[in-house]
Amino acid sequence: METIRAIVNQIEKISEWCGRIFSWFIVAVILLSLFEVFTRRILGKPTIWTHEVLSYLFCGAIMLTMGYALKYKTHANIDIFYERLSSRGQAMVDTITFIFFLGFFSIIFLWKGVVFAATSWAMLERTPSAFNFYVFPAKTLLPVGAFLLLIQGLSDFIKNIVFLIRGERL
Amino acid sequence: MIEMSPEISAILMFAGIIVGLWLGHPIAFVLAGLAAIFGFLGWGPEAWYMFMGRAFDAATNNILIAIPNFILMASFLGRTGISDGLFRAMMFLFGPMNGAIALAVIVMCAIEAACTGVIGASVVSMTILAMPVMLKHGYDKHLSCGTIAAGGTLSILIPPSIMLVMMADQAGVSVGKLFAGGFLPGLILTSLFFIYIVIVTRLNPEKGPALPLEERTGLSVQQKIRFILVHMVPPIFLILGVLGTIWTGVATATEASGVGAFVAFIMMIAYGKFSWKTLAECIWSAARTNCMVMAIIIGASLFTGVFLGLGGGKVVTDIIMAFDFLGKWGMLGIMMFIVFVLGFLIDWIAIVYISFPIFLPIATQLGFDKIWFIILIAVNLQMSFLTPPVGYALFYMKTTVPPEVKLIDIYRGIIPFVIIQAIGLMICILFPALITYIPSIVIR
Repeated sequence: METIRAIVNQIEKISEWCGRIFSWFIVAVILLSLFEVFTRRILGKPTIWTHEVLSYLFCGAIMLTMGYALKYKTHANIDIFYERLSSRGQAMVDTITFIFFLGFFSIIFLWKGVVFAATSWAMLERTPSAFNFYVFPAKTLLPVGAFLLLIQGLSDFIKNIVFLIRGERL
Repeated sequence: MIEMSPEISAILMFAGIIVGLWLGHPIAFVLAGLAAIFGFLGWGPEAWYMFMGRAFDAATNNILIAIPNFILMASFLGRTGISDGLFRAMMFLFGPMNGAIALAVIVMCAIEAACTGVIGASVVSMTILAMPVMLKHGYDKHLSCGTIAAGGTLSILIPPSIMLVMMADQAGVSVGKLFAGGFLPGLILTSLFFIYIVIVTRLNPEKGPALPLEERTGLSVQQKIRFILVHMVPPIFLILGVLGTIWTGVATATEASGVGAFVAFIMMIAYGKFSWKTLAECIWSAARTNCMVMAIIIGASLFTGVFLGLGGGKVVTDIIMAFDFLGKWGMLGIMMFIVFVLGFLIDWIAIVYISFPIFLPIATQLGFDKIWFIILIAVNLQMSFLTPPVGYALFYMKTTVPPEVKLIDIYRGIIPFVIIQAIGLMICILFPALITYIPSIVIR
């Protein structure tokens, strides 16, 4: 039991800190947009690297906060029927829906994501733009995001199972 | 792999959405999960390879970068406390009229809508700000709920709007042109709401009395005008900053959204609300909301990929084409009706991603103007925010209303406003120039 509690706590810590840190990518996106406006519109000297860096940061801001957003239950859902269930009923429904939707999807996404990123690493794929930078940093973010999503999902899943079996909240 | 006819798979996929959603699972993962399941059933594991490409395209899309920026902008603006001052300014303005507070809410929502592009922020802030005031002054609960919920939905139509950003990306048209297209319809809906409240409170003054005299006096007319101006200037500055730079071609929508967020941040400092803690909270909450929105976009994109791949698109197209005896206007009616009905059942982002690849080719074939057609869907989707069980405005409201307001009051309250939105949609269909004129004069 203590081991399970420790694992769940570790996962929540990872989700929390990844979220808190990588949320700041959005600030970087905004500053870079300002830089772009300044260099291109005011100085008239656009830089070739902003386009890629912006989209990579955006990708990071989404993928690396996946666990964080899930932890805070930010994801929009319809609770009009769900909220009428008892807390046991909710835990049971969550367990089942996790298996079919979030759990299943994030495993597939992790597995295919690793293949996707590995392919890009193997061929040292580059973007077809003037900057011609490597694509793998962005593509690697996808499996990492899937991993964060999966472990946070599993943490909630474990909590529900423990609640269903033992009747106590971790 | 199972042999499914396109009809069966289309029906099962939609049934899957409804079941998954109503079990309270996050919309994003219901869509993504169904895509994974049906992709496998239809083609086997190869289907999943397509997922990565689609997810990667959405997550690195330069147009969609405007979304976190607009979310953060709304988050900063919320902290400035501008709404508070604006609301009082509007109450001064409409004080002597019946329904003063409701009118103030509608106009305020329209101004906020022009500053922000996300719906949650304004529904929540207006519910907290205006609902207690309305109830205290004896306003009808239904009118109060309907006004705030309907006013809040304006955010997503009046530019800048994250919905229009997504639509522009999906349809491959310029964000600036869509922003321009949404402008007049947004004003029309605002005016219709306004007129409705004026009429209702004229007929039944007890539903929404004017402000009591003692609350209106105390400031001289000059002081009032000054107060109103002071609180109108910052939002107008922001609106001009964002929309002006896009429409004059100075910046792309993505860049303008970044500038807007930065200006909102400066405003937060100017209003003395800056602290590192507040900044971090704004950023963290914006990051979570952004992740939520983008997860739905990715989920919807995967779902649509599988849905179209299994022939679902053709099924829907055939249904619409079966009505071709009604002529092109009849088919437009059918498409609008489908969007309206879907608005009750599924989430608006999913509707955009599923309906666009199917409807846009039909609309083009029928000879409709693309921007006009997209904005019609946007106006139509206004109703989806208000129609239960899946209506975002209702969710946000439900979590913030005072305890004496029941869910049923919210449901009753929105009915007249949904009808008004339908009337607004009719007006936009009958007078296409309302949508198409402004996009024709802006640069982008």
